[in-house]
Amino acid sequence: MPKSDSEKDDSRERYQAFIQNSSEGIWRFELDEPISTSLSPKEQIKRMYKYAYLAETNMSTAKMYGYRSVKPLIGMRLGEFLIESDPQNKEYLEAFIASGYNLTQVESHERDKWGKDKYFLNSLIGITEGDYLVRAWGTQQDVTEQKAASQALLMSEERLQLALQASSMGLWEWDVATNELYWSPELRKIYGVGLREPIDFVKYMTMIHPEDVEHANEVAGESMKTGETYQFEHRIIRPDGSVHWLLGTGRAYLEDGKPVRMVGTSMNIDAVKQAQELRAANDELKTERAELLALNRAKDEFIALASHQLRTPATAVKQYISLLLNEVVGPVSDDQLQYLQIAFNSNERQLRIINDLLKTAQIDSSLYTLHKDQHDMVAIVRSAIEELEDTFDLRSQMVEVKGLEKAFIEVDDSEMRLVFINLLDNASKYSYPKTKIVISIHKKGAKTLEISVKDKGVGINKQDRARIFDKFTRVDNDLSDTVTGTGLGLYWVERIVGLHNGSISVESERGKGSTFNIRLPL
Amino acid sequence: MNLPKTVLVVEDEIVLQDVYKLILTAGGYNVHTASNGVEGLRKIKAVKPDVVLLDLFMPQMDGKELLRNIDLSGYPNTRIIVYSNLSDKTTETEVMNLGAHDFVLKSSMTPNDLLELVKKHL
Repeated sequence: MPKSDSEKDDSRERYQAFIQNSSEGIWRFELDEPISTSLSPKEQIKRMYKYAYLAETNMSTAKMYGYRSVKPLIGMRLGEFLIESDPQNKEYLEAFIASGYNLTQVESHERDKWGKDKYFLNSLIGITEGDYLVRAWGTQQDVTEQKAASQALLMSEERLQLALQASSMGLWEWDVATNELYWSPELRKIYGVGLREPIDFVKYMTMIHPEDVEHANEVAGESMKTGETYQFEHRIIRPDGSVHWLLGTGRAYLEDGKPVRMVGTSMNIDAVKQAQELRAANDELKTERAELLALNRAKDEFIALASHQLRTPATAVKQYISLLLNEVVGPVSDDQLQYLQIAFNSNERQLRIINDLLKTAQIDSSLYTLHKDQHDMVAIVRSAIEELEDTFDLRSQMVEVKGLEKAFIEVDDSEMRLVFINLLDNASKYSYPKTKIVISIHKKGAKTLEISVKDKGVGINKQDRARIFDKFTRVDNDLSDTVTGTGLGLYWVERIVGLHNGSISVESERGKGSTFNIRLPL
Repeated sequence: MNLPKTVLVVEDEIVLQDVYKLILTAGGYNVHTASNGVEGLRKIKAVKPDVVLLDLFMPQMDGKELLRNIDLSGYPNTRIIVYSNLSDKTTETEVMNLGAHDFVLKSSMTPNDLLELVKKHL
């Protein structure tokens, strides 16, 4: 049954109301001339711009283009909305043609009343009559804001990528639900993982340095609870075994309090760490050096104080016993005299030991300096022999000096004298009575003076030879029970010779004697 | 008539001060004592001794300080013997440069050695 006019009017009104009240833009384009659908898409598009005009639309559409009413829009050409030069629009219209004039959700780039860029999401349908397109219906949504936002996002992502590349920062993203792990190419480089190598969470964890795993779990776990950003320094072990320092940041994104996704960055900070370590090592060395210097000063002060404090009471004992021995305060019996003499000798021995220890401390001190001058080594040796005259007489030993008559060399004479007193005293102590000690002084080449002290004593075992120059070393031999000493003499000898840039060596055979050779640079 | 020579013992250890005084008095000297550098300086000025036995480690003013604070040209007849239990060469060089006439290790000296030493400097 044909509809009545009123029914028709009614339906038209409802249609109009629907269109006008729709929040979507609704439009109808008509063509001045139908367009043959057999034409090339390019030609069809050309004709669309030429023939299409807006025949009908609604308020929503008008607003989208910046108009307050529909009226001014009616009759406007397609090209007044759609930017013909934009390839995006060409694609849009091509897609419309290719789809058989039935397209949904396609974006167009248009301009509003003021020439501002607008983006619409279109769904449209073309009406054909025979092989000709005659009109098109469509709806559109304004997506300009979303577009701007997504463009901004795109730009910021691009910028981020650039920043990441510039700072050699790697990026990762972990989908907690699917356990999918994305690593940026830069991150793969940082971890020494190939671009196409698969990567998953387990593999990632194996590359974290074992000592840092706990910390990594802790900070990541915390973020997965709170959604807050974390930052921490940790080491990794690359597949090639090399260890590197990274600065990692990350945060979890939560939905309903549950982590759904985590993102983060990593940056190699080997250089920073190295600098830090160097600085720390440097600081440590500085501190150590300062401590050593302070320790040395303290030691020197101690030596000075000990010299004074240890010797002073013994000095008093020496003076008072001497006065008694000299009978200054009255006569002393023979027995008393004997005991006083023992006390005196014992005190003398204590003073000698104090002297020996102080001498050792002095030459051990880093601040110890030689007082060098030109001296005749022959004279120094003779003065040492003179000092020990009583010792040699006691054992009826002969001492002979051979070689040069004079040997001038830059040395600390009192220290060198000490060297020969010690060598000669040892030679005497470890030789039997009526033996001979020979000292020979001669040049060895143009730049070396060699002085040897040779005895026919008990000799030194091979295994003992290496340690006789050590502090407090006393070697057992046939005569060692009869001699006294602190075991410091040869230590001083080697040290003093060393301070003169010289060297000392020993040749010895058990039972046949020893020869000490000193070489000093001229 | 020969007046007895005067010796000033600058020594903070009383047992040593006493025994040196005893020894030197027995040796025929006129002995004065001081227990630190300040007192020693005052007595040098007052007594103008022939010989000063000067210790190094002392409270208030030590031996080196005393040497630095005295103009020895004002005492042409006074001999200063630094008589100490410090035996290192650096100290010896230092005190000799400060004008001392001798440097002796105290603990090495017997009473007779001391008398010999003082006699040597007169």
